[in-house]
Amino acid sequence: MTFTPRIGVYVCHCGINIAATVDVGAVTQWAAGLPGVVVSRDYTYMCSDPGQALIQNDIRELGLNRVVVASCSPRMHEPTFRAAVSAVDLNPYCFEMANIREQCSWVHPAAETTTQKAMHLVGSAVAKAALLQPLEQRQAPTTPAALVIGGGIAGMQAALDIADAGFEVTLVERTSSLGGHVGLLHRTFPTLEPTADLLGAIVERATHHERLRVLTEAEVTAVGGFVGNFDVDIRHGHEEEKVKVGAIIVASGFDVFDARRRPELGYGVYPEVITTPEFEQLSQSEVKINGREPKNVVFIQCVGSRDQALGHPYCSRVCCMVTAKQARLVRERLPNARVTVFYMDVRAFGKGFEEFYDATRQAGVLYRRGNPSELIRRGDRVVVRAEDTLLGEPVEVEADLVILAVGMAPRADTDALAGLLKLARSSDGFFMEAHPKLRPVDTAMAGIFLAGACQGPKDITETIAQARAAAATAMIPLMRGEVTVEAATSVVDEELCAGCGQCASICTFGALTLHPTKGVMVSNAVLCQGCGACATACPSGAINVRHFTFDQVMAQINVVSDFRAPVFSAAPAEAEVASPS
Amino acid sequence: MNTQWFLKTEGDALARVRAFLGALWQSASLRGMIVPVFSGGERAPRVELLTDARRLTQADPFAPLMLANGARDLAERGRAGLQGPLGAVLRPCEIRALAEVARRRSVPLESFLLVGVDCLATFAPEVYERRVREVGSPEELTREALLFARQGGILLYRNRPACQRCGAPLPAAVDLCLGLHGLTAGEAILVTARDEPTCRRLRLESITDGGAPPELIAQHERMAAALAARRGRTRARMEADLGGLPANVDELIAHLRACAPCRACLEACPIYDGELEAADAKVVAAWLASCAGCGMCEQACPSHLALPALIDRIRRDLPGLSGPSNSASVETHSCWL
Amino acid sequence: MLQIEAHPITLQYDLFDCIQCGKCTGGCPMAMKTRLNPRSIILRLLTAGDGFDLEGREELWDCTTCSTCSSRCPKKVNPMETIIGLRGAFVEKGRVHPNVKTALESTFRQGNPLTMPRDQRGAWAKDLGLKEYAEGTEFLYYVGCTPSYDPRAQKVARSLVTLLQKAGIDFGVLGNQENCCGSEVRRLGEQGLFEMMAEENTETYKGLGVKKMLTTSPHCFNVYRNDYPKNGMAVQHYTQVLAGLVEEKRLEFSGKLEKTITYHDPCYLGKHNGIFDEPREVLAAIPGATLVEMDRSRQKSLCCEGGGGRMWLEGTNPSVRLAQMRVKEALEAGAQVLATACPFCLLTLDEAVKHLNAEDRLQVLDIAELAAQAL
Repeated sequence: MTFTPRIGVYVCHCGINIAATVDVGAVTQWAAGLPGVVVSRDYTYMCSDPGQALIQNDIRELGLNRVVVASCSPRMHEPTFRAAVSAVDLNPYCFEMANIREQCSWVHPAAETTTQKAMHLVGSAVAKAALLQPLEQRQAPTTPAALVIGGGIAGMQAALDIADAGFEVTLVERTSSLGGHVGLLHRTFPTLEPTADLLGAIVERATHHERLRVLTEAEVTAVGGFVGNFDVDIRHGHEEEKVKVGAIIVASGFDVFDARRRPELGYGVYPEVITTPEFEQLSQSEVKINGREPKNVVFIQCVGSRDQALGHPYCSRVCCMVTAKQARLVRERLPNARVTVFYMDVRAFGKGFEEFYDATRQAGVLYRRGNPSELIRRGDRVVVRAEDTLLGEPVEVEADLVILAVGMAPRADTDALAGLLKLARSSDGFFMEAHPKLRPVDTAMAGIFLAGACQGPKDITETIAQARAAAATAMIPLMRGEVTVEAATSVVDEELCAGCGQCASICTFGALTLHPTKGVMVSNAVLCQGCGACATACPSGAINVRHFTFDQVMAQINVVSDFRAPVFSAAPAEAEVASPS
Repeated sequence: MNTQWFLKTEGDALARVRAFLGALWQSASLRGMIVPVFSGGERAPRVELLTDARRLTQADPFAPLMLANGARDLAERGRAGLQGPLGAVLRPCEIRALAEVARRRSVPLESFLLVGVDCLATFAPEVYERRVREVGSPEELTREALLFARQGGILLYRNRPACQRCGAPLPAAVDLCLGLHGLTAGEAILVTARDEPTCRRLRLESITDGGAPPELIAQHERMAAALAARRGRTRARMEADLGGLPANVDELIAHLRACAPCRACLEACPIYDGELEAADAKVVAAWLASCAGCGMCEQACPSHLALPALIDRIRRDLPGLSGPSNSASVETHSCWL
Repeated sequence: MLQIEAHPITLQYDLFDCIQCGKCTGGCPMAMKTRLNPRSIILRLLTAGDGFDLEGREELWDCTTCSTCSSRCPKKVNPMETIIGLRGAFVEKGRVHPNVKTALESTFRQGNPLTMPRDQRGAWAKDLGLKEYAEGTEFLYYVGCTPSYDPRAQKVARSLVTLLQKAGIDFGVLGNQENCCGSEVRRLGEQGLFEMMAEENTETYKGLGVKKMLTTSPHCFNVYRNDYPKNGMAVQHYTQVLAGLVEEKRLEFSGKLEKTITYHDPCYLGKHNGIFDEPREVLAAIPGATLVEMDRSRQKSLCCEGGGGRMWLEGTNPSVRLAQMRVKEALEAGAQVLATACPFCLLTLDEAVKHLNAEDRLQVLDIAELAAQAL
């Protein structure tokens, strides 16, 4: 039986996001004339319920067997539309998306050529749609256990939540004790609650939880497998052990910015210059510098934050409040000391933060706007040289204690861990979340989640919130007991494969192996993530990735390369549901 | 009597073929053999006349590289009345060119034992060089190419454009043919002789591993047909991409004259014999009609003009002209014309 | 009125990146003693709308282009270059100090800003029998204007020649053919003349086949390294060359120098080009020498006020001199020798020592002179 594509094309206005720069009507009309297209429509918001209903109706009434939606990035709404077509019994892999928003309307001015580019993109999606094959999504059972990397407040909280829900958890901590950076703090903002009270209970619970195994002085050395079924190698002291888990939470934390990278601030040279974490230690006992109680204390904000020149362009988010807290503590502990804070902007955005900042100033802390340029020595004191930008004058402030509010930096070993887990990093060097707004705790790797400052600077409140979110998300596959395996995987044509093994050497998922007797490669559809690296490496073109086959991709390229309407040389036979072998 | 034989390669086709060529040297009482060979630590094999059979251990007739078409050189030797008999191991496009040169210049080829090899296609010299660096040694690259003989070679687009479009990668009109395509080269390769007297003369029965099993022959033929179809599609696509390049003989003459004083393509052409100097379009057309499709012109061209594709298009429109053309043999893709 | 368009300048120098943190002004050595306020200039340009009046902004000529402001900026804004750009507007309108005019004109006519005759440039080395640079010679020794003409700085050049000869370095000079590098011309805002000179000089060096060059002055070194169009020429400051020779033991000191030495980092060697260690390595190799550091060293080094064309301009507040502050700092550090590696620093610091009547306590010497003394 020959297969005739009956394609429906749906062009979205996305409000004015697309419609303001692309002539949506013209694109729709043009698409209607493409071979295989049965219906072509436009609508304000295709992703809305009425928009989806439009598609579903056409599938039922016009007997569509392939659907193309021209709207935003598939990262945004492909799952939405796949679910919509599935609901009316069209295989989700018979759906194709053309991204005419991020790749067209958002990046070009309103012009004839912009509309033409949208047509290119729609045409190429139609060309591919005609060649799409239905694929079967399979399920794989999951291991009901989780691994948490990092024993700071984020890791402990996430581990406890998952263990409380009834799953086995292994928590791996590199140092000899739990607590991380929070363990080094004296008191917390904005309540000035002693950290020991807050952390002690959590450490206590984590250490004695029956379903939580804490491994200190341990580190992950290898990670294999996939969501639901990870195989993790852990080095624990001198022992190596292997654990099987269904989900992994990364809570590896941050490094404190090394203030010596701004040598003009004299950290490491002048004993009077310390960092905010060092002040936390100092403030737990007598506050003395050079054996004397300091009389003039200066705080300097934004050391290693908002600093493009040193590759730390981001705001570290906590330093403003840390400074306010520590300035308050200085006023409490040393009522006779003058306290000056040099700042650029005070960012007191959290609940109760602005009030805390108010209270700090009311306690007699002087805030001066200007970021000090350098510290020099004058006699037995250091002099902070800055410009008070509100006075518009250079100023020199003598001090016997200078506290640098150092920012948070990505851990030096982030790269190594990223390599183990195949995680991406954002431009600031921290681990990258799957979507900054919609998927803040997920990573691009299914089954691996982020918690705490390894994803970006955070205070304790935010860290706890993210840890609990990561725990809740990680438990979804664990509780369901099975995961859907990607169907767009690689497949080896045994006729063309010579068994040279080049594909296996570049596959990062270990999905390709040599068949023991046939002398050809075999792709494991469960391990394969469909990245396609093998397909490009294969010397004889023996490997195709389902849903991105050579023919499908070439059909798309042919359309976009010289903007011709898609050509169907021969109608492809409707395959049975191709099941991953 | 059977004309198709086979060699058991036992994992090393290159070594087996070297040994076979040595045996052939003996059985045909050759005085020398012209074959691509590695000499003096060079990274690329060059076609040389060997007079010592022991040097066959460095011969490599399968290397995926073609620096020049050996036909003209061979014809010169033939015309010089070199003391034969000599063996010559050549690629299909070299054999086609050789036949044409011999015909046009009346070169006697009788004193040659022509051995043709199935061509696994070749890389551009710079690609070859890079790949040799990647895999470690030129011999390793040849072995990698042989690994893909069963598939009819590696993905087309990685090869020289002329190879991508070549519909006749199996040699024709030779005394002996070494067949690879469709076969697992690590296990066996085919040896096909011109006729039964040749088999007897060369004592093939004793220097091969016996008569070829029918399934080997069938696999070889199937792959030949598949290759012709595959490359036919590539040829069509390349032609579609020619766009505004010269489309008839007069335009091409004008174009090539305008290219002067480069002449690199003409110097690389194994068949060219001053035709462009003649003012007659018919003479030029006859030259174009006999193109062997080796693509040396394109490889030599500093602006990589798609000359073989161009010539193919023009030649198709030439009335009443035929020669040992590349496309003519596509239809037959049999070992013998 | 000296009206200029502010908006194009804000775009050219990425001034919208500025967050007004004041690090530039806070570290600016001239902000301590004059009206110069880089942050405020940036804000004024940003808020000026279409027109910006340079009239009365004499403090723009106070800038010594020491680059402290630019090196401190967390947003990679370059206030120093902005100031040089604004000077360009003065120059274009011909509204410059007569000294600046003279220096520019002398550079144009005589190939040096010192109003010295071109044909006397090579005279300092008449008795040294130096080889004229020809293709194939390893190094071109680019002497520079001040070391060629100034009697005090000539000693540096002569010392350096002694050292290079001792180490067996193959080098040549251009003699009277040598032309000003244009560094100060550029920093005085005369970009057009600078570009012309850069082109001309590049042609000369290309024609001579110069591959490696060494300079006496960090200013010349910097301009060849950072401001000239890329030309395949490897330029080194002489302290880098000496440090290399010391490390390879091709230059060894047999003499002794029982002195306490402190090193003043020239702005154009240190802050501009990050060369802090090599000069110290040379000093450390001198037998008997004790090195002490001033509080303001390396990235914090205090400018001597000799750069950015300030050799020809007194500035708006000549009563306070940074060079004198620097000399006091050296004395506080307990030094007997104030070492530097820049002809401008040498001259300004020398003058400050005289002014403070400290000649008996502190000697200002170039590293090349110290090293030559220790041979």
